[in-house]
Amino acid sequence: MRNKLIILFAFVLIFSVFSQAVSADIIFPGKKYVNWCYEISNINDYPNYVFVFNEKRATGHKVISQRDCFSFYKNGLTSIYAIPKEEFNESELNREFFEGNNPKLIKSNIQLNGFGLVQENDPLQKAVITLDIQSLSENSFDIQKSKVTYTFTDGTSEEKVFQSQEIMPEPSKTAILPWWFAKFWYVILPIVAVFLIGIILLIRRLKK
Amino acid sequence: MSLMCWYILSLIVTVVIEFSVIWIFVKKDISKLFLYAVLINSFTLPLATFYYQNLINNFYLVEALVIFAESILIMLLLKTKYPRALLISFVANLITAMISLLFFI
Repeated sequence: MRNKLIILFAFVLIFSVFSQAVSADIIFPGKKYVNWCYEISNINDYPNYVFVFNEKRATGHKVISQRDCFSFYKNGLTSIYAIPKEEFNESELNREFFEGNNPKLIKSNIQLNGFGLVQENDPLQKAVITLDIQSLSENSFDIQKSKVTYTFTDGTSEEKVFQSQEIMPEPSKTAILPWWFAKFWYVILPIVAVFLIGIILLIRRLKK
Repeated sequence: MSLMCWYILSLIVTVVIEFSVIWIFVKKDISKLFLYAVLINSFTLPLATFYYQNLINNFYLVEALVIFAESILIMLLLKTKYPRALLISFVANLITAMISLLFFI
């Protein structure tokens, strides 16, 4: 009984200490998440279709409307589908609906990915990736990434146009210092300095 | 030279100059004055670079804030009257600001 308790205690201790490592959403030291999402710019040009994204692992499916900015589980495999409006029934949407060759679904050419982690001191706060529907017919659905809008921590933003579908345009503002040095320079050094100044003043007052 | 080295170098240069200016005004206990210069600048320089890069993109305004902050710290640490502390801080930061404009910005 005692051994079991020791093992249980050790198990809880190890997993509480390394809780980040057992999570699927590991944040490595010095890294941070960026808010990101996708939007489709010209859904209103295709009023006879309903657009849906489906992520197989965690997020599931969701109907996309013109003003939606949608995101999904970052490590998921996400596809966008069009469904002719007269064949669309929201109650039919489930995991099986997207499996196999469902004749109601017109699968797009694009597979969407989540946005990666950035340095903790990186000024990037949000990335909105804009998709344009190039063509849509009964058996083909062509969609392209057109631009990404980056918003930074200072409130400014910029748009970058995709030159290639495979390569995400880089934001012009990035972290200029390694995260550990930024933490040392901007946080630790001034705090230690003001703390020592406080100690000096306190000692001086106590000596009086 | 990497950016980190520039940051460290700027701190060293600032400490040496401001220590020299303080020493011209207050000729006593050289090691204590040097320690005060290190502590004052280790507090103000990182915050000044952060404010300049992220919040107030105005060099002169940031320098004015630094002069004000350092004048209070000089007054407290050197046990001097505020006008004198402000003068020391102004002269020290005028020199370091000119060097910053010439070499670092």
